[in-house]
Amino acid sequence: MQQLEIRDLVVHYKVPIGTIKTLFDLQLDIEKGDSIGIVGESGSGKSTLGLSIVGLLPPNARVKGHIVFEGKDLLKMQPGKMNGIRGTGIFMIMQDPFNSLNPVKKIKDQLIEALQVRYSRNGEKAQKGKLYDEVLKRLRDVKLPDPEAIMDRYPHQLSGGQIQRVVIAMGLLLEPDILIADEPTSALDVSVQAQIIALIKELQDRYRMSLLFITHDLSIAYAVSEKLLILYGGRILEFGKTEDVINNPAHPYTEGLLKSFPRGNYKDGKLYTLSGMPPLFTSMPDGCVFNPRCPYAFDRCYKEEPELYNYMDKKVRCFLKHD
Amino acid sequence: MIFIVFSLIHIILPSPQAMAKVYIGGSHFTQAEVSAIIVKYGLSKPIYVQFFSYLINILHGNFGIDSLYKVPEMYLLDKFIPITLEFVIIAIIIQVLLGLLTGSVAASWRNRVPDWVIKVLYLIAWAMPVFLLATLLQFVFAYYTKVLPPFNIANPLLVPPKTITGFPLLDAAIEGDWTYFDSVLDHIVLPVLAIAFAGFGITTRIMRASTIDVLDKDYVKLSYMKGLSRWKVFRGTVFRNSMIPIITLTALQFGFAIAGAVVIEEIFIYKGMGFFLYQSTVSLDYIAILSTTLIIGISVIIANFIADILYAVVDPRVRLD
Ligand SMILES: Nc1ncnc2c1ncn2[C@@H]1O[C@H](COP(=O)(O)OP(=O)(O)O)[C@@H](O)[C@H]1O
Ligand SMILES: [Mg+2]
Repeated sequence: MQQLEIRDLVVHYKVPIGTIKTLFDLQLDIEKGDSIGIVGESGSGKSTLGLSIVGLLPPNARVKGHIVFEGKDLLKMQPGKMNGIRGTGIFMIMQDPFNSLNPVKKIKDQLIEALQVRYSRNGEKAQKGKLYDEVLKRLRDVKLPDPEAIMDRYPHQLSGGQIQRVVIAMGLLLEPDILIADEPTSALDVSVQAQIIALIKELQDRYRMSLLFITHDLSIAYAVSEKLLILYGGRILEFGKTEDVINNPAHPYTEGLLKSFPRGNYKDGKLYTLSGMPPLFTSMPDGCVFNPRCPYAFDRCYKEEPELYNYMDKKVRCFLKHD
Repeated sequence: MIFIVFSLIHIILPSPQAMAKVYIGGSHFTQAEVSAIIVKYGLSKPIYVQFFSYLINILHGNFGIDSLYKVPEMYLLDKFIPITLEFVIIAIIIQVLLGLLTGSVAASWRNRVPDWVIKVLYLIAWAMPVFLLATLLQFVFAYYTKVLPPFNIANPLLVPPKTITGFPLLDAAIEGDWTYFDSVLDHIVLPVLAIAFAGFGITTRIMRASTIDVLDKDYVKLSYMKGLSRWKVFRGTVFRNSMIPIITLTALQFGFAIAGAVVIEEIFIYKGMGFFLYQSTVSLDYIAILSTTLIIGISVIIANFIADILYAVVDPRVRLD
């Protein structure tokens, strides 16, 4: 069943020198229970995609297209109605843990507030004590040591990893249908990263949420997701089952990304690097966005932009995989 | 600070001989009698010795005898300070509320009509000198439309209630003298408005900047993410963070307001400490100038102290360091 449909999504940012087009006609379907990894280099538009789904783009952003959730187009919705979707419908964990909790409120108050949102939407009432116990239980779920003590702390007394767990616990308390995690681990130590990822995966399975996991790290996406979306310059370059994309990359960019990953067989000491830089939104190349860095680029790639073609159960934006 | 004022007054004042002539009977005194007084009060000793003995005395609560009113200075301070404190505190409260409100509105509707209207308002109030603003208020509300009295603390025909705290409104309320209370209320409006208007622009500006800053923070996004309404996010998350700088600012503005009270009280003939300080200055009342300045200084220090405590209460991050 289609849970979320994104159609022709276009996002511009207004800046003093003009407008920056950041997402180009993006299409995406999320089915119930899906876990989709969204992979792209920094600046490819990943956070913009996440924020447009939850309706929290910065004021200088302009959105077009449709984002349909439970039969309603979120982009056509009154701002007040959108509040009713966020939290229990869609919840997003943001990139930077150090700024994501209110510095002047205790952890317990921030979590209880979230839980109250869910209770009031379900038309239930609950005593403080019951709320407290449920929050405590969720803090145990996210494997925070000494949760009672954490409850009485302020955000500045926690580490980045602990804050990220608190935010995940907040997500669990709200029981959202869709959880978006925007690089939840990129600000954390590698050892903590692995724990948080394992945790998100475990919780997704247990609570049957749909997951949109945003990362710049292909190996993390591989570990977490069943479907993989490769984003580049605000466009989908490849989309399909994670196994298919990793084992048979169809787009030259995906191929390059995979080759640049250290794997068992790089004992010769050489590591492939993708040459060139990701495109700037202010100066997009003509034709295919990837042509300046593509080893296979030919005439047509510089003249017209390829569409997202169907290719062996996948979608690929490349002329080589068409005809 | 006391020493600076002490020295400044020494520079401004004529010699003790001349002063003695002015105050203690002018030319009727012989040179010998003047010299005797100078010796008696230690006026020929070096300035630091004089300063030291003054310090010892005020620490004992002895501010000296007022040379104009011929009563202990303490008695006068006791009478005038509460009058000024009362209207300045009310003014500061109104000013802060006004500043918080307009600053929040301006930030929430940034670069739109409410923001522009507020900007024009506070720029006018801010750019205008206090005395002009006060005179204008007096002209419009007292002389032109005659809705409020132009000066005095209360209707002089009424008998003031017994002095308990010294704060006119409070005393009237304690004693249930509502006629007098109403009269004080009528008279306090203009001085309060003058101070509040003159100062609220800075609060607005800082509050606007601080709110814009906070609105951009990820924790505000997360509050929305929980599904809270715009008003709840504003009250529980945005406001509680953006009002923090206003605490320190208000302590600073309290100092400005007390200083501004000198001008305001003069214009509205509101006989509090500012009026007293002004009168003392023009009549070279040495001891009164020193004592009032001292009290003003102390009250500013106390205001800052209270601000520091409040700051720690509101912002948990401060408590650690
Ligand atoms: N508030 C903004 N104003 C202008 N441009 C922005 C803003 N936010 C993001 N962008 C631009 O949009 C592009 C995509 O940003 P983002 O979605 O944050 O990428 P990612 O999360 O993949 O790193 C970047 O090139 C960035 O410069
Ligand atoms: Mg990002």
